[in-house]
Amino acid sequence: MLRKYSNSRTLKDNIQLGSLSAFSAGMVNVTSLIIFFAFTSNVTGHYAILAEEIAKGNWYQASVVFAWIFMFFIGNFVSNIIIINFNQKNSYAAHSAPLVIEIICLLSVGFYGHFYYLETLWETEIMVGIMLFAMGIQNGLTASISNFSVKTTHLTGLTTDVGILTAMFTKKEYRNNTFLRSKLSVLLAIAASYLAGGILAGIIYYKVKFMVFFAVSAVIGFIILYEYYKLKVTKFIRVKRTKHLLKTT
Amino acid sequence: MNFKNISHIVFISSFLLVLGFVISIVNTLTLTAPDKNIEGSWKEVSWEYDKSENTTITKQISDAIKAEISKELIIHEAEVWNFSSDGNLKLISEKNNETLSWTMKGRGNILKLSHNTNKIEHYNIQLLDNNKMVLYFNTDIQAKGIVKMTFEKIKEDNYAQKI
Repeated sequence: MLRKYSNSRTLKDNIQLGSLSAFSAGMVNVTSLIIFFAFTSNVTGHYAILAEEIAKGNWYQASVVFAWIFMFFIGNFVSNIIIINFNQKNSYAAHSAPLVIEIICLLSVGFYGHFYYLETLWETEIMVGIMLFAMGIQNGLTASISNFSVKTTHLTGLTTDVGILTAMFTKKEYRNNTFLRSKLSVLLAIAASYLAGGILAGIIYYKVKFMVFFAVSAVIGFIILYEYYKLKVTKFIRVKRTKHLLKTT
Repeated sequence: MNFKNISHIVFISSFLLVLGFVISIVNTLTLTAPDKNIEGSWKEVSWEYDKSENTTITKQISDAIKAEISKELIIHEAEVWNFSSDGNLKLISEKNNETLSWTMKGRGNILKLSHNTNKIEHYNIQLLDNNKMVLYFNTDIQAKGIVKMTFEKIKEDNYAQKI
């Protein structure tokens, strides 16, 4: 899921990574919408709001929204700086590090929200900024390592692609195209996971409040640990095979 | 376009982006935030339907309908709203006074009011400046629609004289 890069990734890798990260993004976005009345996994709406606030002359609000968009941008920047500089040395570490940063961000929001949040406006603005940074990191990571085929925090492009593919599938030649079918599988898996994550977060938020961020962190932690486990198992099998080959020769 | 030009464009774009972020941070620290702007006393000026499912009704909301809508809300029939910096909102009317809690959400575009009975209501802040505030909320009473409440800021010296 995390070790392979760009074109060496299989359909299964992309579905696993896409589903799990979209699930966590759906959880984050719905929770932030309920608590803070702001979207945190996509910035298209924020661009529209930025334009509206500038047009109205609300410079404070425009500045806040610009800063939020910048946080999403810088999240993408940071995750790709890590990948570009460390991928050659250790691809697992290079791909896990952005997720670790994302977990730290979400845990800090969950922890602060649960124990200290006084519902002031500046707290809300800062926490939304941190969540947008975290979602930028996740989006930058998944898009980069999947060769731009998996984007998990916003579904505008995904819905467009599904529309295009379903139109193409009205022709038999495209229906039989394995690449297109697998692309649709990835897209549908991401959409379904995002929705499922959002619904689950909406349900559990009313019971556990800010602790929902601990659940999101657990999902992302699972991605990292699953890959670590797979890495160990692969290494173990490789060592066993080498030993076996040495014995037989 | 040659490579040198592209490098210049990338450099200038990055510089503008970072500059924009710095200006944004400075603005948020120096400009008056909506939660500071709202502090003080506001007098209700009008209640109107801004968008309604029933096109035959007039936009202006009569006192009778206003009273009926308010029954369902925690704001009731207040005439003056006094927002304090400690998060308390005093609703002052001729009949009675009541205290609620207030906070702001989003980028300062949502006003959250909480009653001590745990009832919570959210109002959209459409406009908030030094003199005027416009709030929107959805109602199911009479005609389903969006109600627009307009307030005027009571200047502190006038208000002090009045009370």
